[in-house]
Amino acid sequence: MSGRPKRLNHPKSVYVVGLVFKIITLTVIIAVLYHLTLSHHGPNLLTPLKTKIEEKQKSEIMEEVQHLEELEVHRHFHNIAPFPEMPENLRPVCFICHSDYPHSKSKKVRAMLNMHTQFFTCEACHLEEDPGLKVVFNWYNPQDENPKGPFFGTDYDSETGNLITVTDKLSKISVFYKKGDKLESTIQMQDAPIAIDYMKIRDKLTPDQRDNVKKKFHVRIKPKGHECKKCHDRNSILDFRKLSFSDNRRVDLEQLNITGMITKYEMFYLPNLFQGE
Amino acid sequence: MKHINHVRITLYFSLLFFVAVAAFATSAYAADKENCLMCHKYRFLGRIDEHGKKRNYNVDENIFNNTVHRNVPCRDCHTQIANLPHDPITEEVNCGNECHIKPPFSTENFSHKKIIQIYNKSVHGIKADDPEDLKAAKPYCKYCHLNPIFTKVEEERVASSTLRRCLNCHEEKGVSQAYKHITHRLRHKTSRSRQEIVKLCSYNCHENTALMARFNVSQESLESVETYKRSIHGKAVALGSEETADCVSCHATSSIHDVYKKDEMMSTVNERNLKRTCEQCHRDVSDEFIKIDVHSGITHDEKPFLHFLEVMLGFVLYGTIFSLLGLAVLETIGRKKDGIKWQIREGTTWRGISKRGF
Amino acid sequence: MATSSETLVTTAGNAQADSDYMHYVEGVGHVPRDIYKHVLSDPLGDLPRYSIHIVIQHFLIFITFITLAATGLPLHFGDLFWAPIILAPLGGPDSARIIHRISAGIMIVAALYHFITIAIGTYSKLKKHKFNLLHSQIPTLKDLNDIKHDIRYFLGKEQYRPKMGKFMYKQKLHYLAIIWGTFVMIVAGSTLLFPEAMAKFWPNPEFAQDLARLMHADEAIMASAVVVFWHWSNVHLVPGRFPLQWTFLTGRITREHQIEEHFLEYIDKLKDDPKEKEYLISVLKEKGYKTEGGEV
Repeated sequence: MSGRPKRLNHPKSVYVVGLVFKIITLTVIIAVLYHLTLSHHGPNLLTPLKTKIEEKQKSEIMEEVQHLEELEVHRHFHNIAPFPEMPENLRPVCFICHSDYPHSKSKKVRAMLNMHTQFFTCEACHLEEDPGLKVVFNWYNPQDENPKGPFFGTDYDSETGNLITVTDKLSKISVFYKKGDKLESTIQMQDAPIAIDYMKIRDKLTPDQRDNVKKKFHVRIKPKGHECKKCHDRNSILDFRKLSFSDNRRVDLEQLNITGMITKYEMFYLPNLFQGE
Repeated sequence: MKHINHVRITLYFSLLFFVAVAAFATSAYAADKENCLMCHKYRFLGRIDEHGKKRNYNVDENIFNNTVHRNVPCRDCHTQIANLPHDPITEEVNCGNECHIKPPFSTENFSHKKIIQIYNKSVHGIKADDPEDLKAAKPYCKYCHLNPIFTKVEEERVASSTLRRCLNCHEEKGVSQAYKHITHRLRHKTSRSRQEIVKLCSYNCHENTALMARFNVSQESLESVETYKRSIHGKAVALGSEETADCVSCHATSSIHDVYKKDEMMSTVNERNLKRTCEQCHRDVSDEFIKIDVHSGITHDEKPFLHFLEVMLGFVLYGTIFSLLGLAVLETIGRKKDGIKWQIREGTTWRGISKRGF
Repeated sequence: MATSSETLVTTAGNAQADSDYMHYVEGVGHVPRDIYKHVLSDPLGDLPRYSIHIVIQHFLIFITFITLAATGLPLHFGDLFWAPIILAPLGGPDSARIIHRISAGIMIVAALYHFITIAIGTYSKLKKHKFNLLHSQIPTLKDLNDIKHDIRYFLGKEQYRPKMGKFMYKQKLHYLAIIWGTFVMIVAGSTLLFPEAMAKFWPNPEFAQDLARLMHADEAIMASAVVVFWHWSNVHLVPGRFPLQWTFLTGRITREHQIEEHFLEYIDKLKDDPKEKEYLISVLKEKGYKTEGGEV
């Protein structure tokens, strides 16, 4: 009890306890400071500064766009399925100006045309083909040099009868030039020298100059894409078998016209299309 | 002639289609006999219109098959569509339509008419003498109800042995559909979670005080989201409680859509009905109990004494913390100067030399 | 220990005449106020401070306090990001509420246990005429002087710390705060927990409920802040106490701590403790002080 004590130092293990106490104290100090400055539970000492910064970054256009997107969810009513997005820099140059809904001129068919952007690159329809070269259609994915599939829309699910669910949702059918054994992509990527250069100086150009440059991107692009029957036909320019479509699926795509679908489009809607696009 | 031709071609196609997919004819096609999904199953079927509004017309077939409307043919709701391919549609769907679904034990076609009638009478229903911007701001069916996906309720609540008995007479598919249909609505008052209900009522509507102020609502109503979130009901629900009251628990009966202003007789939060409303959860509800403020906001005008107390307690709190902390710091500095070290070593903490100069 | 012997001689020389500095104890001699700088201490504690009852009560309060704070504060600050993180291992808000109530029950039992211990202890001491104000939590005017004296010492204007009893001013303040806090928490808490019954009890149920909501939360935040910034800092983190004071587990206090902050208690108990007397004489002798008796 008195005299010389049993031990003169703390057991080492209690330093852990001390450390825990210290950490908790420090955390609570931070919490108190937050409470005093920014938390809406406290006296909000720094909130005016925060709102000032936020107001500077506020954009009315941004707010409206977001509001419209919310309204669209309600208008749509049916659940909008989540869909993966290709990273911005891996998209072709077209996406510098155009979106996934590029067709807008002809009211009657624009939605129908936009539907095709899910599984076609722009060039697949809009390429001004070089008459001296042989074109080949193949699946294309900038993230995967040799995509194997299964690809979207190539088969039916035998259980549900719906289209098969696939993991690779970003591969699209694109058009290539055949040069010997090799396939040469016709797509202008954003890392092409002209695209990089354009992005660099875009804001410095006058409006006229900008229009000039934009035309450069459209040199090999024709404004009107293929007609429906070029693909939806027994003599389709797409080799559905080679593109790994199942027989059921191929027959359905080739024979869409049996419903009169395409015939009717051509009768009622496509005349506009020819003038419009 | 043309019309007949169209019908015949449609029939022919349907036949061909069903032959082609005979092996996998399932519910997807029950509702979509006219094959609307032929086009609408694609993700980017849509457009950006002249006013910069994006419209997407995609209906995901796999999701749709799991929604409450999965058996309703498309054109039962989208009645304006007469032929295929169709012109752009400008008219909204009317949820009061009758559809070609006969509920079990009923000879009438199904319709949402009844609930719409209740709803139209409630505070949220559009009245003839409402100003235009109020009409625009009032929620409509689709504002709250997106085509709901069946949520399965915990299995333990329905004994699987009971379900097995159903199979004595009914098909398994029918039983599982009926099970989903009923349990989806069994969670509590609504099929939505309490958190979803609170978000639904507050987000963009009741918490938007600038919007609500335009419609001459009471001060109490203006602050209702704020005060709810500060109440124990709101706090517990925000943290995921399944036992605490959400908005609908108190403000509607089991018809859910009959929300009225507090001073209307029909209101569940009207003084005459309050006892019954609280009794849904609280036992021994007395006349005194219902006086307790549920949406309690402590403001200077309404509760001056409590407001004063709140402010004073804040000062006391920070005064205490900082003066005590200051004393501790002062003490530490003073004792350090006198030669104390942080830790006890070799039996003493006074290993330093005092610099106090006495 | 030998390091500061030189300073001691000089200070001893100056203060020999100062009766405030030297405290006479029969059978030991004059004990200098700052002898705590030279005694040997066992970190686990040398001298008894708390009975086993107090240690158990403290432990119960310690555990329930942390549980109550961990289940209550996240509920109050439910909209902040850390709230669900703390509640998740406790099973979410619904089970946290149950845990909160059980802990509160245990805490009330511990408080009653403490009250009974103190009541019986005080009664028996009064009966034996052994009650000593120096060993009690009752605040006196001396405590005010002690605060003044101590602050002057911290500022370097006073040479030595005040001579204090078993409970110094900090501890008395804290003890009173705990009594008040526990009372407020129990009353406000039961108003919140039994709104139906308490609505009949309070004259103005609406006001009572609002007040209870305000006070329960405010008192909880106050108590947590004081425990973290004051109690823990003073007991475990300040110099001489880090990393841990073992008193709350062993019920014993280190010698140097008792002499420093509870000098009068030490002197008082020294009278009946021959072993400790013997030890103190040996220390005084080693430092060159005159001593009475003690043949070491």
